[in-house]
Amino acid sequence: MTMLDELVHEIKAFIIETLDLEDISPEDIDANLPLFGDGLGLDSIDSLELGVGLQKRYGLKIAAESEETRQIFASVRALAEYVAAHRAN
Amino acid sequence: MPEPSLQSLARYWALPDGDGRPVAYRGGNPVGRAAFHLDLDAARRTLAGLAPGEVAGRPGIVLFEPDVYRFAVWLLATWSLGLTAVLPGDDLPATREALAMPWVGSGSSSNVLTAWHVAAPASWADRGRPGVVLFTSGSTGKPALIEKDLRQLRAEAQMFEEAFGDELTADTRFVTSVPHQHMYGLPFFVLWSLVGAHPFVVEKLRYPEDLGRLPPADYVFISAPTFLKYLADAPAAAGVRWRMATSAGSPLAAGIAASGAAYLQAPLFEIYGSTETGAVARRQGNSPWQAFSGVRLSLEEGTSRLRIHSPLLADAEMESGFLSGDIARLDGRGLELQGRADRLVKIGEKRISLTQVEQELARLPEVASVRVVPLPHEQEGDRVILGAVVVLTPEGCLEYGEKKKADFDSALRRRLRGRLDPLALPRRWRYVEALPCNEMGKTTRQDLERLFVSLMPRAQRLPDEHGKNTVRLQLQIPRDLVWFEGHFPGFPLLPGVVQLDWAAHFAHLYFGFDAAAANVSGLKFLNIVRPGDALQLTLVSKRHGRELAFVFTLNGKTCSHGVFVPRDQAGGSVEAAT
Repeated sequence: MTMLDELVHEIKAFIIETLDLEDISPEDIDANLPLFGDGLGLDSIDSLELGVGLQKRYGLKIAAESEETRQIFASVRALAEYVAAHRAN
Repeated sequence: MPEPSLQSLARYWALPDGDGRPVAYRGGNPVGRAAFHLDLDAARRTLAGLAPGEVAGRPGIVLFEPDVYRFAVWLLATWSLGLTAVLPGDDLPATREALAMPWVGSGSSSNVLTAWHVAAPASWADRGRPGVVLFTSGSTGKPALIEKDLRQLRAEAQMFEEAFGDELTADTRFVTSVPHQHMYGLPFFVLWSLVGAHPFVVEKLRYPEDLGRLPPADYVFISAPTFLKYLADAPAAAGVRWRMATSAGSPLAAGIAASGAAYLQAPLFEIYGSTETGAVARRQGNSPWQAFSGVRLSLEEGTSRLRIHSPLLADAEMESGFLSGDIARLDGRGLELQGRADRLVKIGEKRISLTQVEQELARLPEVASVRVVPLPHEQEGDRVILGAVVVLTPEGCLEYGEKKKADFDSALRRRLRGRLDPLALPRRWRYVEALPCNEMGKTTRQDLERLFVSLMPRAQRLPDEHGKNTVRLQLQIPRDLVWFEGHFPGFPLLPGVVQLDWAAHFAHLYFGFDAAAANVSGLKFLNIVRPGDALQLTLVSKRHGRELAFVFTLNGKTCSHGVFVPRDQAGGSVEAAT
């Protein structure tokens, strides 16, 4: 596994743990599908919780409701790439 | 048919003579009026010898009697002495302890049967306006005490005779599948038949097969959806003519209403009402509800909650009317119910109607019936998520069998998208053969919530201090964890096999480690884990991910540890649970 693959798996576990998703394992999540809307189907409250979780876990501050936020949350892979580039620890 | 002598109940015990028709049928044999009056006298003599207790400020006794004939005898005898009857839902030891006053009926020390057919009563004192005290088994869970006095009960029986009397012939018999100690069976089955001098069948219909054993006659069926749903496959009874049927207790699905009416070849009236208000309205099929005569309906401004004025209300509510928890619409065609006011939940500042979520779900071809309950979010205590309990259609079952549960869940969520606010989409899904329901056919919120009890601890990952091959988790052990049930009664302990399962689960979640293909080596259980404990789980990936070690600790003490190792090298170890 490449570093990014490992991080993708870690992000999936992070999402499952943070949002308390039930009966879903990391391989059920397609890393290239959108987190919101038609993909994983997360909602606006989930987005807030993920934002708070990212700050706790990786020291990342994500502005609410910006175009950048939409891109970061575009997919698990996009989120993993963002975390890899910006993480504080 | 003869004019029912309704005033007669005002004298509590003297019933209409019914032109010599029997009071009841037991085993197909008539129980005549003379015998009934002798039984009443005997019951009154027994009661007169008891020191009544006090209930709601009135003298009373507790009546619990599964046999509806004896129940009716005791009830009328109780009223004839000016006493109020407390009608508990059961006679369990806790109930007996809670209602510390004389009990009559089954299992009581004073059994009316031992004094059957004795001579006339002594005189009695009228000790105020008697009635009954019941306990609601409402959807909110907590039982509430409800009083009904004789005026209300008499008015209700009278209302039915007025509304439905034309459907009956003089010899029509009453038969039921519902309990008679509740505010559906009591007025509809016991009081209406007594007041209208219609004979009632003592034996309850418990199973659809019982229909085939009814003697030839005309019948009224006081029933509920739990029984009516089996009518489509029930045996036809030779010579049995149904005059009409009623259904109450829980909503009657359109399909069951149609198949029920088709089996009975008679009108099937669904009854809308509550323990507090008595019967309010009736309808056939999906048509709008029609209020019973004397009942006046209005809507509360702003909330559209239904306000009910009715001669069946308690004295204190006569003027203001009873504000129900139901949202409704009223027009010239009648009443339309639009769900419970208390079924609105706030999620993320939005008001979500659970009824609407259920209606949208019920429209999916996979869904036969569904209930939605609000649940606390495991990680975020203040957040509410929705759980759906679904009975699948055959089509849904087929699809469910072909998919992983998570995929099936999200397929249903996807189909609701666009119809419902994203916050209203259920997060937890349970698929059941049938919705849980109690004897009254009610699905309670508690029973639904039980389907969502925790299987897993609340997990939170702790900061990494030991490199990327180590994951440390804080696990909060829920007190309602399903694994504590029966393990052990009075002394709940987390089973070792569950710890093994959790280690496997988190190994898979964080390392993609397939414990199903591994064995466990060096497994040890050293200390116990109790409800509410905050455990730490440390997972360490070893030998380039080929082995995975786990250790559960509680306040620095090791509870259990082991290593998942590839199956081929595990000589003599325990096979891992998955």
